[in-house]
Amino acid sequence: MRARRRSAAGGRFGRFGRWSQPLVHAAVLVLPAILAGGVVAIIAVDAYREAAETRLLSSAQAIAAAVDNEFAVHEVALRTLAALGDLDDAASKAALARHAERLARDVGGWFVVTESLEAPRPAGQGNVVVDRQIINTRADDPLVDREHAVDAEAAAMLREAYDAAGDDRAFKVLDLFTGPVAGTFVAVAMLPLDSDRSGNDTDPEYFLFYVWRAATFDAILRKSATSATGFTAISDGRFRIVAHSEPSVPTGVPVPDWVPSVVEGLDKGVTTGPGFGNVPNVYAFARPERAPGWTVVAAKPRASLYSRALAFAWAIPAGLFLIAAGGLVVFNRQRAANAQEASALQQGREEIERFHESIPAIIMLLVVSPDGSREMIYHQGDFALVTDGTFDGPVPPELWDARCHEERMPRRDLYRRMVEHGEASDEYRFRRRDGAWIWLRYEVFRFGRIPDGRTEVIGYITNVTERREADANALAASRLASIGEMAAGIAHELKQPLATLSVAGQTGLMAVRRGELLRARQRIGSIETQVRRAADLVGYLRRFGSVEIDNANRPITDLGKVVSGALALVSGALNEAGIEVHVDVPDTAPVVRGEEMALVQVLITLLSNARDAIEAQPPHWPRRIDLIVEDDSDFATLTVRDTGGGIAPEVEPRLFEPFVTTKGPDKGLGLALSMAHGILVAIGAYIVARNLHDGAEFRVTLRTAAGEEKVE
Amino acid sequence: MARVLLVEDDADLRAELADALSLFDHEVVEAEHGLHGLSLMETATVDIVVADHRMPHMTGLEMIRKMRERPEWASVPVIMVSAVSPGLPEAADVHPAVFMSKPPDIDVLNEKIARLLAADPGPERRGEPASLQRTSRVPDNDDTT
Repeated sequence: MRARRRSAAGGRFGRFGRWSQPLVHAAVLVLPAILAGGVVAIIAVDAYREAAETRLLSSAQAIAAAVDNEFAVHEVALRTLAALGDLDDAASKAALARHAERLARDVGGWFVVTESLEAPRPAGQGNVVVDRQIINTRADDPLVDREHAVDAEAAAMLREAYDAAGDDRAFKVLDLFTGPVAGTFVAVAMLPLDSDRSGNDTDPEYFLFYVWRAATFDAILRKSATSATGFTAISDGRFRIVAHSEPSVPTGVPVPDWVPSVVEGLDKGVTTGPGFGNVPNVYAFARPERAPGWTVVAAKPRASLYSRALAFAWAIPAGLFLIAAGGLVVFNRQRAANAQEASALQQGREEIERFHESIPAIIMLLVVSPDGSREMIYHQGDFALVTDGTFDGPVPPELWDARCHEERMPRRDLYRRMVEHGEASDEYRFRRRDGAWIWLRYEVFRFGRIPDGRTEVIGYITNVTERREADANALAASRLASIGEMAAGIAHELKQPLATLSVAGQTGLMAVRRGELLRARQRIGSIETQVRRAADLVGYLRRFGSVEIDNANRPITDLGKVVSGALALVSGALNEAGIEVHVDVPDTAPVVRGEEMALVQVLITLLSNARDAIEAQPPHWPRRIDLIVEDDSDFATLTVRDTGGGIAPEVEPRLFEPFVTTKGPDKGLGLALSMAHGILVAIGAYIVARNLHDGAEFRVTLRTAAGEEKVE
Repeated sequence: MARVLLVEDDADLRAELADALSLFDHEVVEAEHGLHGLSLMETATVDIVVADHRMPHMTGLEMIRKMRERPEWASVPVIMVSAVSPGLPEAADVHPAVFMSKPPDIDVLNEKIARLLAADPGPERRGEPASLQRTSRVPDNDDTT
């Protein structure tokens, strides 16, 4: 190829030779000048084009930064509410609703807390995304009101977004969805929320949404568009236009077909394509960090970029000047874009500061290095508000709970954990002057990554005393409920030896009167036996009341003893209910780590529940409980299988939570199973439940003493 | 005196009650629950039943109802000794039956046995004088010891 081109050029020079010499000389002088001028002009035009494109790109990036900042403010609002979020009871829900109202007013969107992400209703009735709403700060808004529809696509999208989030509980900027009001667009961010903040439970109970109108972006876009003399737009993850600088152009329409394939996989860039009205446009696009699926586009007609450059291109000095001017413009634009970005950040920070003023939380923005060291960027909040007016400054060291303080996770580990998992928290307490405890929770979230490898972190300190107290009370109530159950069992079991004692006493007396000494002696022997039987039962109750879970010094327990201990207390009641109990324990029962009485309590709970379930069945239903102990060297399992009809589907997901019961009010508060679950978790065991064809099966898996040694 | 079917699920209490009844010279046939009691009645004639109410497999009340369905057992008197009354006075279909709370006074128990047997000697003994001195008319049965 190259060779052939050269020979063609040589031919052309051959033809020049036939012209007159002066012309040749002129050509030799003028042509290089023209050529040089042309090259400079081309370079100048190209430089101008490049400068203009860079300018457009900076503009897109500045808008993306502003949009990102908007998201950041929303994220902080969402996280703040989540940090305050405690949904244990009606009072905490009301308090959360109050905070939500205030935050919603300040940030211009609204919050919805729901208990489930339900599937859409059948077509025609409207589809409900957010069912069983607990808190809705804009209940009057038809967009999220349960009686009004949010489209099915949005429902599917929310579900999908949640499922895709997996363990990553990070703030998600979700796509837009349309409301029933034509032309209204709402963006949503969602955070799964737990009332159980212990972190043991990975399944969220609630979903917190933040909803706002995409119109928020219009102002940003219009302002940028004016100065860029083109137009700007932002599209969501599905490439629909969210907001637009041209009021006449509708939003919600899809971007042109060719756009997705060009911009996909790129963070930013410049491209040319057909525009509105088929005038070719130059497009610059960038992505907000917090919404990677979204695209900010700044566009200008292609002709306008070149025409001005071409108009001056004939002049070399103009070309040269343009190169310099273009450079200057790029430099200034970049500086302006940086300034715009900085001012957006400043504005965001001010907004965050403003809405935190009346929130009972201390908020911090920190930058954490990979090694866990940190730098406080800012810190705001009223300590007096957080501590119910107890302290307005740092807590004097003598009021710290020393043990609790020592047990706190070292900060470095906490931050390392946060970098890994996106969030981390711990709780600690100190004494109020009146002697009561105040519990504080410190939680940190990953907010953004800085290119140098450090992480931006939001931290909150909130007062969780009320929840800690409620937890403690629930535990105490649960212990009382279990003791109540146990006492009922013991009372029942005591009735028999007492009746036997009475009869033996009467017979013994009569025998003495009649001089039947052998019979009298036998009766006294039997009295002695019965008194022992009664005393053992009472002793059991006493030990039961004092179960302490001491992880450091967990005794080892023979599961066989656990089974016989529990059966001693409930077999009477099971017998009376006409339930056959089949016990299958290996001759050498496995030995596990755990307090015997605690495990007896767990087993009694399981057996009592099985009994209650069976008793609720129709009269001719099979009445059988299988109690099986299996030894698998490292693990032992304790299985209780009943014919009680199985676990009700509405209860199943919350089976081990407190106050969950399907039994009548006479059968307790629904605490026993959650208590049993708590005991097992505390000793490192676990329990699973499933339904069999005619009943339920609960299986407790415990590490055997032998298995535990291996681990240690 | 009388041949008593004693139905009680608690073995210790059953042993004591059996001993107390034997003190009054009653012959005692022991059963662990209602179903067991009914099966014993198939092979051994009894004059009176002393039963607990709350028992596995078949309660005392269920047992009496089953008894009343069979003509030969329809008038065998029953004393129910239980911590909880199953409402015998209201359950007219189970008479003759009386209730005693647990633990029973053994003298009262013995008196009630005597009174019930005097009032209704049972179908097999119709025409015989209701005598407290009556000894067992049933041949000894190994099952009943």
